[in-house]
Amino acid sequence: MKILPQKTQTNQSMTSGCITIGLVFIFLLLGPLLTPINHTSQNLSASLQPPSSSHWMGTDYYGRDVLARLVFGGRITWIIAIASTFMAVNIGTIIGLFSAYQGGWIDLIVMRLVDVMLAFPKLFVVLLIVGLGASSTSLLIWVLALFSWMEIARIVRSEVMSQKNRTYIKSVRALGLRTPRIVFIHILPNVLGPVIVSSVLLISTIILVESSLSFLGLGVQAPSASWGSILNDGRIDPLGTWWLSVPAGLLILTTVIGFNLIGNGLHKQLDLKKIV
Amino acid sequence: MNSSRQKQPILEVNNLHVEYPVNFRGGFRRQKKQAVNGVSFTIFPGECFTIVGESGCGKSSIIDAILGFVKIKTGTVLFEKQDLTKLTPKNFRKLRPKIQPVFQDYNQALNPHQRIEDIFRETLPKHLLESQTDQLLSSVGLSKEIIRCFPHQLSGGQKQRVVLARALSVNPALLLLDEPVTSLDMSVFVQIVELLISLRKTRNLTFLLVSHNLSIVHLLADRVAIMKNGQFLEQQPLTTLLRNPKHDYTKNFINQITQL
Repeated sequence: MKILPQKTQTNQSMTSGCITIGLVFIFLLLGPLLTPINHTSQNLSASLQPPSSSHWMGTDYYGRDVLARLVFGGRITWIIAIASTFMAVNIGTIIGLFSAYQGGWIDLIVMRLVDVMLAFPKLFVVLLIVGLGASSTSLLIWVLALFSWMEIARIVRSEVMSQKNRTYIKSVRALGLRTPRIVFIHILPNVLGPVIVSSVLLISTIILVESSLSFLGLGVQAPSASWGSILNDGRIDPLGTWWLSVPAGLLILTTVIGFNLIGNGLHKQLDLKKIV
Repeated sequence: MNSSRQKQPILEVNNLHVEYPVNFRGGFRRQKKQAVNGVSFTIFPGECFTIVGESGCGKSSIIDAILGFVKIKTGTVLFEKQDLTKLTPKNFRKLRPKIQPVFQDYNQALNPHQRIEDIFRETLPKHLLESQTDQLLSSVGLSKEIIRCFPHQLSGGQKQRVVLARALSVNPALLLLDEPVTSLDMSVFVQIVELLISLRKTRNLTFLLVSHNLSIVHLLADRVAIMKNGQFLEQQPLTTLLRNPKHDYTKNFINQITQL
């Protein structure tokens, strides 16, 4: 009885992505240990202080500790990005699964709706809605999710279309299994690979959109913070107050690169599994 | 054979027409391709009825039509006197286990994310899972050590045996064998054919075999139908067909295959 061994290969992209995101995560998790100062505590007499032993990353216009705001703002940015992605992935997966499995006119209508939604520039529409509404974190999460599910739905739909006529699906249909079982136990696990890769990449896209909104003053509102709003604080004098914009910008950059590396690594990893 | 002919047919296909939409653009079905055009045949319990024809002649469409995977334009499919074309989806689903397919492409016939034991978990009762899985695997010549394996860890022959074991796990009356050995190498080919012969005897199974390979037809078939362009040219017992083919196409087909 010959059993083929499973190959294991190192995945540099995945490793470096995980290390990068791991480091940012540790920073966000253990950040309060580095600075006991509350991120909203103001001290106008210590306004715009450069990095020092009392404020490791300096202070902003209101004398608030930048390190504490980076930690708190990062948490907000991550929560918004992960929550929006989670919602978008769920909405996209259900719509994609339903559309592809039903096929015919339902699929045609749903996919044209997706095309219409994809035709709108995401940042512009989100900007418009958030600008018109009372800006809040929950609204931001909803709006970002409602304008990000389409790519996931398209991916799921195309994967389901290719899977549903495969021999193993015909075989389990012939066994008399119920449709929900076929869809969720047999089809869904086989379409999850590309969905996971896209979800990880979607996190970084949403981080960028959220940071852009907060930079424009439409995202997270004061006294709360996000990396985008901290970046905005350093906008007036970027060289003179570099400690406001540079660390926030670097954190956004590092996180986006980290998630992209993980997405890339997952893509390779899933392809490798298919070859084996 | 004579005794089986006196029995009630297990499957009766009458004037079957199957067509597929082609050129599907923007939701408007412009053309239709006739895949099966007025095919009729009857299969008796314990018999192996074989449909032979070149690729694309509509053989697999007949299997898909019996399984309800394609829409039947006209015609009836009677399985144990029940017209499958008139059953509600719920009743058809309940009846499905009695008709099991074994497809040509064993590489795609098993869910790549399911271990072998999970495949049987779907069809066997929980309290009998272990004992019946072992029994099924040994009946198709596999040892129980493969139950923790994923399909990609098995060889082609092993996968096709698992496919057979899965089909047997629901106690079918009719096996639809769609080119079951075509993509296997010669040694595995012989093993699988021997296994099919033995399973047919021990489990009193009925086969509908679809193939363009006369070797397997020669070893398994009782009656053979020659198919071309969606129609049966002739139906005869195997020995009669080989000795005295009526149609020129059948003569050419038999000659070409014997030359190979």
